[in-house]
Amino acid sequence: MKSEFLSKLIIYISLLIVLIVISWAFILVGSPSLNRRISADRIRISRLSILKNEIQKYYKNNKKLPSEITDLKINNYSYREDFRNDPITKENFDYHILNQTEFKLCAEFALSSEKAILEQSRYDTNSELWKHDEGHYCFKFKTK
Amino acid sequence: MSDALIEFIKDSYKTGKTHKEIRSILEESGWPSELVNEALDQFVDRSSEVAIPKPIIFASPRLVALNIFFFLVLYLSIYNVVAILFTFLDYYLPDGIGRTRGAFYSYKPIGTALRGYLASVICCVPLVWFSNRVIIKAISVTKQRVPRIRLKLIYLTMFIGACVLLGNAIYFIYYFLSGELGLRFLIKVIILSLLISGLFIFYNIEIKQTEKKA
Repeated sequence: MKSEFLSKLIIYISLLIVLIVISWAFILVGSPSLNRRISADRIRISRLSILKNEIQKYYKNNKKLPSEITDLKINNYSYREDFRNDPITKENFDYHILNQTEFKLCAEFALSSEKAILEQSRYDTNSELWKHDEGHYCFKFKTK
Repeated sequence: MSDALIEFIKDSYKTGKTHKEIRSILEESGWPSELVNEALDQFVDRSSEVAIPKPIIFASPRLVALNIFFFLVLYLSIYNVVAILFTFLDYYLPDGIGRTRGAFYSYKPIGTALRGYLASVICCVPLVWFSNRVIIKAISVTKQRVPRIRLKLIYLTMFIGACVLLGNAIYFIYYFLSGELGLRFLIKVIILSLLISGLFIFYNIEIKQTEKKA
């Protein structure tokens, strides 16, 4: 039967397409452990971003940079206590004063931000600012 | 089922003919024996002045529910597979101007969107296969004809397909006239057109086979 052959052909072709699509998508989205590391990096970036804003706010109010990031809590500028910590190691991020108006924030990243390109929203204007390599990476900021 | 055949059987009852007699007359006149048997099966084989219809079991609620479920998972599978394909295109063929995004444009990051679609496909595709098997089994065991709900859902599917195809064509011409016919959009239009054509051919075959039986 010609029509039966045709409907079987359609079923097999669609099955083949579905299988290819699923495996390709699996390769593209990566393993759960990779995605866990990407999420950890994203939390690091969001915490560093809060930390940067808090330091800049501290400078605006006190006309000087905080000597330690723990100062931020004492001055009660924090709205989330843990924004100074790495989400995995729970240790404070590295903070260095470069001069009177410049400072450096460092963190240990699991992956380079290039590898997490799929997790970036197309409307994320901050992604350029927070580009980082794998491992220890520092961002330099001004107090403005 | 032919109305003329049923009418003839009813008329034959009035003249006091039995099933055997009616069958031989019809088969001599060239009616296929399958059709004659199916038509006669609808009536009680007893000499009576009027044709006594046999109680007919209509599509059981189980089959109705199964068919609705089958088409639900079928729609979900098709939507998500197409969405994955479109996300691939968005990823591999980034559009510089970012205007001719076509359908299914996701504002979520590609990874997040893909994981969602992938999860749905992994759940739904095996269910399409499984529920289809259960339906075929149920139909063959109960010897029911194709339930009316299935035909209705097939026609609904074709109707939705026709609407998608129409929208597709309108968008295609609109983008063509705006001078924004990118490669990515073209591929999306081709994918949707191929998909709908496949659905049409597939279900047309089923409908024709059902009508042949009837």
